[in-house]
Amino acid sequence: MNITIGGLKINYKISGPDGGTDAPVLVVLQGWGTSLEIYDSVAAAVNDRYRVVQFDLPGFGASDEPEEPWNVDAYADFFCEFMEALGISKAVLLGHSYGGRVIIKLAARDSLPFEIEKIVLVDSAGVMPERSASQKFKVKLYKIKRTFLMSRPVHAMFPEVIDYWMSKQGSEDYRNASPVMKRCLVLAVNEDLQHLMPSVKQETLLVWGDLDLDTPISDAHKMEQKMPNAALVVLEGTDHYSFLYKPVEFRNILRAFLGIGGAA
Amino acid sequence: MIIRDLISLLLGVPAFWLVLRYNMHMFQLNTYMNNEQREWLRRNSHLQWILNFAVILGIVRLAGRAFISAPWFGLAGDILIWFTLIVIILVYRLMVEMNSKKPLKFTPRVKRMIASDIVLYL
Repeated sequence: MNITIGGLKINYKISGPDGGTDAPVLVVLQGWGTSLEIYDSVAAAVNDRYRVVQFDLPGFGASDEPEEPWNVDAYADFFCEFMEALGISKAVLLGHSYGGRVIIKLAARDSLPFEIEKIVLVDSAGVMPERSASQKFKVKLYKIKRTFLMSRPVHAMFPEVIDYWMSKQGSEDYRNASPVMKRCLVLAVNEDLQHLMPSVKQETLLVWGDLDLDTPISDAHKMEQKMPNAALVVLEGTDHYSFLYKPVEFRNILRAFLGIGGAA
Repeated sequence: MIIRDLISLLLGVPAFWLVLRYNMHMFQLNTYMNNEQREWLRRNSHLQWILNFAVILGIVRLAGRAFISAPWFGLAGDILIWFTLIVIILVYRLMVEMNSKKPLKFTPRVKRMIASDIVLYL
């Protein structure tokens, strides 16, 4: 299904009890570079009792891209509009990776047009990694190289070779992103949300893979420490997509947290 | 002087090898057809302009050795040649990588052509 918000076509789907019922709502906020289908197993885990909303954020999956680079606050603002457009006044928010970032921003706000009942953060982003001196040096060196190579006279000498070199730089997420989304990603990864975490007062479940390299388990420990009502569950032997690697364990943990025991 | 020649050699050998390897690879991808290779070179001459620049630089340097005795000229010429060789190494390393979908196969024919190129160069 599609809905237009702020001129952008947004792809979404809803599963679970009919809209007419007063079933509780769970909204899934996705990770960077994913599309909503990847969270089908998450929806299937609880949609016998919850209406589960899956959607693609602007620039993700099948949704339109924003015209200008958006920071995390802009995505949070968009989410508020999305909730209003769907008429949802109360929901459990589940965020994976980048989606977790957006939820932290929302939960730390003084007022929202909807109520956040509970929060589930899965391998969530939000803690900026501390860079060592050599990493800082590498970043500076890269910036110097990029400035030199992308200067007009130098680029004109070897355009194909320089463009090829540029296309190899950065993380996989960065390389796969469009120019606008690349800038969105840069805005996101350079923002540390740790100062907002004490303001996340809702009951929060942190689910993490101990082998996660994108958002390491140390981030989960920091979040658990800083969020007043957070508890951490580690899915051993899983990485940044812990919910995909251990779907049964994930389902049981999620159902227990939501107080809906029994099989889906 | 020996040190300068040694630096030129240390930079010249990898630069020569990378240029040779890249063009040999293209020749192989053009199925060793002279006309196809000539057409490919014509269409892609903008990629390898630095080789023409390096040849002109080499000629100017040799002529300078014969006609200009000022020591600064020799040093300046060598530095310019080293810089050009470094650029060739960096650029051709990436150009070799860019065409890595179907890698160069070192067939007996390729080995013979490489040996001939080296003899001609020497």
